[in-house]
Amino acid sequence: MTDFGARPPFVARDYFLETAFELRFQGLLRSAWQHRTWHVIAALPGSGKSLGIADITQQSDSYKDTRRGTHMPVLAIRAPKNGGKDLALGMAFCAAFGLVPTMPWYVRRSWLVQAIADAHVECIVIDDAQDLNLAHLAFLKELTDNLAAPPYQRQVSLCLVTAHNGAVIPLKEVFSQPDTLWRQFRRRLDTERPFCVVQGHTEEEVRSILVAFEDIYRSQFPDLQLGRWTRSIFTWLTHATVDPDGSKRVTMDHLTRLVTSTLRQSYEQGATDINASVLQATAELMVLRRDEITSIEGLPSSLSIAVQEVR
Amino acid sequence: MHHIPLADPAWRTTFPHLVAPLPNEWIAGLLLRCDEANFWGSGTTLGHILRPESKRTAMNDLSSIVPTVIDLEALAAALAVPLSALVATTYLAELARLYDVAHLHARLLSSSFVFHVCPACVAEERRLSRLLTLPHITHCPQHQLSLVKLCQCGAPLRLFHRQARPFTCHKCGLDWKNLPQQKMDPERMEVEQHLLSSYDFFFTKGTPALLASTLRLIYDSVVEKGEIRVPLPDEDVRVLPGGRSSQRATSLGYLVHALWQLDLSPRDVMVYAGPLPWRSIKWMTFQCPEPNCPYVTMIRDRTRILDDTEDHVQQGEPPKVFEP
Repeated sequence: MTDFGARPPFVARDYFLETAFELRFQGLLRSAWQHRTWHVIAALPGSGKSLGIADITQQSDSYKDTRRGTHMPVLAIRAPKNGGKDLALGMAFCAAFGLVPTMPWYVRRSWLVQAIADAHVECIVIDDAQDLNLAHLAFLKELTDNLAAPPYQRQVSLCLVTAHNGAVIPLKEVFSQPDTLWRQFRRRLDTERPFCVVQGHTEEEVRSILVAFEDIYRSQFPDLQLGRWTRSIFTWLTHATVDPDGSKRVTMDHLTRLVTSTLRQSYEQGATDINASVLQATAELMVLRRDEITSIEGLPSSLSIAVQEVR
Repeated sequence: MHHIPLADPAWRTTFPHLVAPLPNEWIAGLLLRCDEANFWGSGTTLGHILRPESKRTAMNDLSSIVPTVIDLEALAAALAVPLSALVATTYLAELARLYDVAHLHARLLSSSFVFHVCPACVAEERRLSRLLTLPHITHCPQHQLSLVKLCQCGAPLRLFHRQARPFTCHKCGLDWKNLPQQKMDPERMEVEQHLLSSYDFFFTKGTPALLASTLRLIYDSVVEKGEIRVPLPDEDVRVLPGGRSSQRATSLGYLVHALWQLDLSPRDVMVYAGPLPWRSIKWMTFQCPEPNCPYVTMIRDRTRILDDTEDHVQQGEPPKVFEP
């Protein structure tokens, strides 16, 4: 134990880790980008899809330059949340370019095609694509068709990234319907891998992530040895409560929450390595008592209430 | 800033395509270049950065010269350029220094606005020069071409028009770069060089005191001579019934024109301190045999400040642009 009173507050690190999931997920996105193919890509909520998309977008050498123009090879947006019509999706695309003045939708519609072509967009990624509706998908088809037609003749990749539960992959059933639009959409999907599910982490992969965490938190925990808890952590995080689909894979969100929460509590106790009892208590809280209601009654110790004399 | 990566927060607050002001560019031209770079219709950028309650049509008249209807801070943010770079595309700083008034208005520069372009400037770099806004200037000093104010189809050129592409005629769609290029009449060009020198003088050295001195000189000169030169052919003056002309007497365009009419130069303005009691008000011609004459010393001191200005004019350099 150290003199924790002299320690600075615990600092949680939110670095982007190139985990096994991210390698699989980003590998698929890169392949689609390179070959200009269309995919529906599904993964469990909390896997790290959005972080992976943000990372690949930032690595794509996008820039605005007064001399060289605007270059945005990967155009990534999040699907509109509250439904809406094609305008909602169009506005999301426009926002990705920055500040776009108000203009009628029919003008903006054709402007988008020109802007996407001029910015050399090669890959369109839509996160939370399970929220797309018929109007959105129809607009997507129109947009990509216009890009493929003269004068632009740009083939772009399309990755519809969805969160899935169990064996159901969003959009799969929609694209299987006999309507012309869906048949056209289905035809554009990649021949070999139209629908993909990117799996979470195996036990070995969890171990390598824990080792990475050791390095990240070494300055705050000089004696940290997280790797030795791999089996226990994997077992807890594949419990039916947090893995209802029985995938026997661990999501990055669960793993990060468990590790960070345990580290914070251990740190506050003045530990230089993870405290086993704290780890178990945190895991049990996440797995067995996740729906437990916490009653908030006391006052924060630092709260001071100003007292003023009433005359 | 000329390069914005995606991770930069400025990505979200700037236009999709960035443009930076060119040397001596007029803000209206910058707005059109922004429209063109972003594939927007003419006036789209303008519509976005108009101050509340301002009308878009305002920029097709006098307001385009002194664009008080534009939110320059918003435009600077949207283009990721320093505010000073945008102020340099207007005559705001120069007129503010010259007139020292709280509320600037285009009428301080001119009483009317005629929009015309140099087809060569548009063809080379889509540039509308700030000089195009100066009253009585009808030629491009760089290309020595007459400025064009009518399209080949007969329609007057309009800066901003909702239905037009940037830099094109709103009637027939002709690109302004394809307008006919006509050589300027040398005599007229010489006159306009004189006017440009005067504008440059007031923009670089102008103060309210100098303005007052100029007005006094003009008044005294008219009184002494009793006549002035004939007006320029396309005089920026509204002719009223009875042959009288109406023009804001203190506008810079009027002053510069009046100086030319009275055959007075910036040097005359600098050295003028009131009419001499015994001879011409033309102080530059004043000579005194007395070795310690205070008038001669005063004239020498005042003319020294003009040397820089005249040097570059003699070397054929374009007039300096005042950088605030």
